[in-house]
Amino acid sequence: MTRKRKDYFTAFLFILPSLIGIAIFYIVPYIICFIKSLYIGQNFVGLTNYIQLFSNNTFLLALKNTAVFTVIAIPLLMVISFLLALFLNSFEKISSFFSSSFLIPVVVPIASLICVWQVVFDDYGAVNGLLNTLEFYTVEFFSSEFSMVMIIFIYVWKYCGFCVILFTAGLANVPKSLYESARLDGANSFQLVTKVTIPMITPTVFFVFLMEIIYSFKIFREVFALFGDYPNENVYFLQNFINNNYYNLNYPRLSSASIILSLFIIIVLLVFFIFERKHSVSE
Amino acid sequence: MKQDKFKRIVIKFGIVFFIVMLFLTYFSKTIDNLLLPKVKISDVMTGSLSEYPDTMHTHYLLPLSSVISSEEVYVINTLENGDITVSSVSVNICGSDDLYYEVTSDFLFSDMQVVYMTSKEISDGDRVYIEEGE
Amino acid sequence: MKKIIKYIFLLLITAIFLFPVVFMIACSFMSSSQISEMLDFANGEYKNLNMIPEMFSLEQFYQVFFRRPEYLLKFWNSVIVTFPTVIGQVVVSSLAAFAFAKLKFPFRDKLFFAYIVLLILPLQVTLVPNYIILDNMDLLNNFLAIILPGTFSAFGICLLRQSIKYIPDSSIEAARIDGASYFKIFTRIILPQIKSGLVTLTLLCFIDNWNVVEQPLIYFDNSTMYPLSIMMSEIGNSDYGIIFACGVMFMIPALIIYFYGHRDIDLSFSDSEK
Repeated sequence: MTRKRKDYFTAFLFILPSLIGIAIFYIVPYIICFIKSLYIGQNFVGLTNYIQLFSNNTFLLALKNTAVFTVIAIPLLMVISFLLALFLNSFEKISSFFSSSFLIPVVVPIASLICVWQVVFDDYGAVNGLLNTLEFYTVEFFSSEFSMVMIIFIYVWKYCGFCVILFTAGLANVPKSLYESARLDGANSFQLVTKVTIPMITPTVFFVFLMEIIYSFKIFREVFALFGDYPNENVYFLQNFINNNYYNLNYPRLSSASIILSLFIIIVLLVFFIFERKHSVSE
Repeated sequence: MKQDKFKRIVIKFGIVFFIVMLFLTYFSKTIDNLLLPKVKISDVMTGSLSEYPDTMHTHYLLPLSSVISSEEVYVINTLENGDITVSSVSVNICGSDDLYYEVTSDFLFSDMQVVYMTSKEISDGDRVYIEEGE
Repeated sequence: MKKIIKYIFLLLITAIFLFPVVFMIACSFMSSSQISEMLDFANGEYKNLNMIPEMFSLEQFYQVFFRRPEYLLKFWNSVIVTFPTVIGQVVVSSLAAFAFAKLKFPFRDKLFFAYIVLLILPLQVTLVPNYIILDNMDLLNNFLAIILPGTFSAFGICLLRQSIKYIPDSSIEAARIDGASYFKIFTRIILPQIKSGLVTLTLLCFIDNWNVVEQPLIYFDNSTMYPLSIMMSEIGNSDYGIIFACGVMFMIPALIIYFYGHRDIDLSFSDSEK
């Protein structure tokens, strides 16, 4: 018993530095934020802010766009990077030049690349030049529903390499013998992937998913850089909403929107956590 | 083995990069000035060489070397951001002696400074570095 | 034959990943008139991605390095903000990640879940409360105002926990039986094995803080303290001529760290258990 308690104490010492920091710079602000979301000015108003928020069209638009982005971009990135990882894995030996070039997009700072994206995606940019010579219509990437396509493209482009590397690492951990025995049982290569690979790399999938969520919120720096404070209605995300209310100093609305956003995240994460727990038990 | 070599190169490059940045931070202004054309300047003086001054126009005296063939002189401008540039001003030559041209011009004022010597060829709008004259 | 197609496909993918960067570097050697022509979207001509400068020119670099020393000063501001944050985060989160991955204590998983939630929260949520807290700690207009919150981000814990998890429990058990303290286990067994994870964290954390935009604008009154990233996002409105050169200067430190550690990053998550 004392031994156990001593172990707890050591463990506690290890997390103490981060716990102090997290408490001061994250938990306390979060609590302040929550309390403010219940007030307007000095008056306690309960959930009024939240109710108002859901009758606010801008907020609903932002919520919708965020949901659309999350639902499309995250699985897309997951699938693309998984396939690429399988592809890379199929080479027996591969020059590190390739795998390292995959990480370059993460390394290059956002601000440096904005101009490049503008040249590529502008109404008179390279992509439209190409479409024009092929006699298609001009696609207005900056002012139509294709803005979302562009943002998703940039998101996938940027983080794909990182996810590929996470996946190849996961794939490397799958014992070769498993494949061989499955092949002896007469599995074809598609079955090999679905029956052997995917169950074996579930922890990796979870980790990749987590990273993708974290990074999907960071993509808004690109949105700001490309569109400014008020992007067109197709890419007006919750972050834009929060950010604009931040500049307007509409603090009650800002904090209640943030709380809703975090609730949204918590639910998604909980589902995934439970899912992971189940799978790691069954292994 | 090969990787170690690569790492060492990268580290060396990193160190060099930061030293260069440090060096540039301290000396960029100096180097910039070194690269600019160095000019010497003199104040524009009002006055006349002739014994019967023309009272209609203001006459200026400029060093001989400041007036270039096309009857132009370069005057110094100080921009808002602190840059020093030259701009060309046309003048009418009325007379000269061993040291000065006597000129009239609508664009010349007595608080201006003219370039009378430069280390490189300059043209309208160039930035210059003013060297303190003898 | 199949092999050739595979290699062509591989090259194609690599090209897509590398293209914007190569393009940017190529542009940094163009003269500023060519750049402003290229970025002038109103003249009704389709842009082609011209990788070859009409005239090889160092004009942009000359402008950045000699004409605008303020950019160099901002560069050092960025360094001051970023480096301590990275070091702090690596130290703090490797300690905590070890506890979360290998030690047992009550509420471990719940606490970790809370960490992840806090990690994902958008930045704007905590900006104002943090302003109040930093004001009380008298840290506004101090570089620590950015360094401290950055240091304690849960991101590193999340990342390192993943790589520590791959270290087999048996090696820790064995060391315990030999009477090693947990701290000794941490420094002797864990740290050497997660070297690649540490490199990854260093790189990602560096990039994150190198790109910091919102916090300095709010915490600093004095624009001479702004890091380069803010200048980079404002430069687009004013100085087309030097935008690419500035971008290249801006990404060099990140590239240095990356090239130093890229092998380790590839290995980062697959070290052990083979």
